[in-house]
Amino acid sequence: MGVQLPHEIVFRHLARYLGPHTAKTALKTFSERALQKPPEMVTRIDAPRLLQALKPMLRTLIGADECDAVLQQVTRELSL
Amino acid sequence: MTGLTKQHKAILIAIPVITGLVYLAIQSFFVEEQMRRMFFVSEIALMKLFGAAGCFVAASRYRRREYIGIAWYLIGLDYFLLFAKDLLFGRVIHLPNLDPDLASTLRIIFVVIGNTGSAIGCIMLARVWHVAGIALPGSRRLQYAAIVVGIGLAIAIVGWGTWQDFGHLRNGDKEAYVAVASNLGDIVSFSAIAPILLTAIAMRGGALAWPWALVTLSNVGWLLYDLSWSFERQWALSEHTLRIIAEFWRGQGCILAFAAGLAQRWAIRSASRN
Repeated sequence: MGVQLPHEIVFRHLARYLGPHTAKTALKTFSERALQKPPEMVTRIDAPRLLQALKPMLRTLIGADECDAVLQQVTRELSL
Repeated sequence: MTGLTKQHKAILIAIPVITGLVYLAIQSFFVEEQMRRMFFVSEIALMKLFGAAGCFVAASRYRRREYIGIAWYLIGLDYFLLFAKDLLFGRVIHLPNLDPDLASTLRIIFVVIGNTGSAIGCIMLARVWHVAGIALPGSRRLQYAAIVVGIGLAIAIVGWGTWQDFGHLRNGDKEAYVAVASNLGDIVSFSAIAPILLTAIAMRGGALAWPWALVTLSNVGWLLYDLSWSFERQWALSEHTLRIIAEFWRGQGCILAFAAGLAQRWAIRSASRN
């Protein structure tokens, strides 16, 4: 497997719960809202802000414990 | 990878299918009227207990005061109160030496509280997309159309019966409170079918699509139960056959809530393990 871009890593984790369609839409919405840029332009430096923006949505859908576990995993994979 | 294994999915599909088949097989053994009444009461009480267990299992994955956890608890509370009502204050099974008037009052209290909880829980689930900030599929107009059709269908199926029950209330029939509370709760729950289904469609391919799809099917099961009785004259079926069909759908409504709760728990647990 090649090196994944930050938005690809986040997408993969979101899609596991939300499905590819909603994961893609959510990623686009929250990336533009928090960073004013499309997901493809998100860098590793931007990633923490993107994850912070996604947190309320994830907490609502999967609960705080699971949300924290997922975000930790994403953070690890992004080597932040 | 969706977070739910193939085995999980197979179990979730098998639960309502096997339950339905077992119900159809077992009910045929009860021929005598008294035994038959006892069978239906016991069977549906058990199904409601399963429904409650599934909802509480789902809710237990969330912390206190978390939005979806509260919704699951409220729906589970409804199933549990209906189960308790059937066993403690029912017409066929009840506590010994229970005053009939007190039993009737307790039935009303349990049904009103349960249905209020379920209605609020269903509205909460129907609004999750809005609370979480995710988009539903289709244009806004299509979404509204689906919701309006759902509400129209709910009123068409339960509305006339509710109207009649209000008439019984005016005539002083205390038991009509139970019917009115159930019907109003059903109208709200059925109205939530469209947004819950749209949420399931939005999350297709993801682990969370399963609980949402199963909650939708559970509400459809209850809708078909009401439909069976609402149009009993039009079906031109014997009461015997109609009862088998109606109780089949009520059992499916309950057991699908159980499956939905399991799916919710597995979706989250499985994903965190991956």
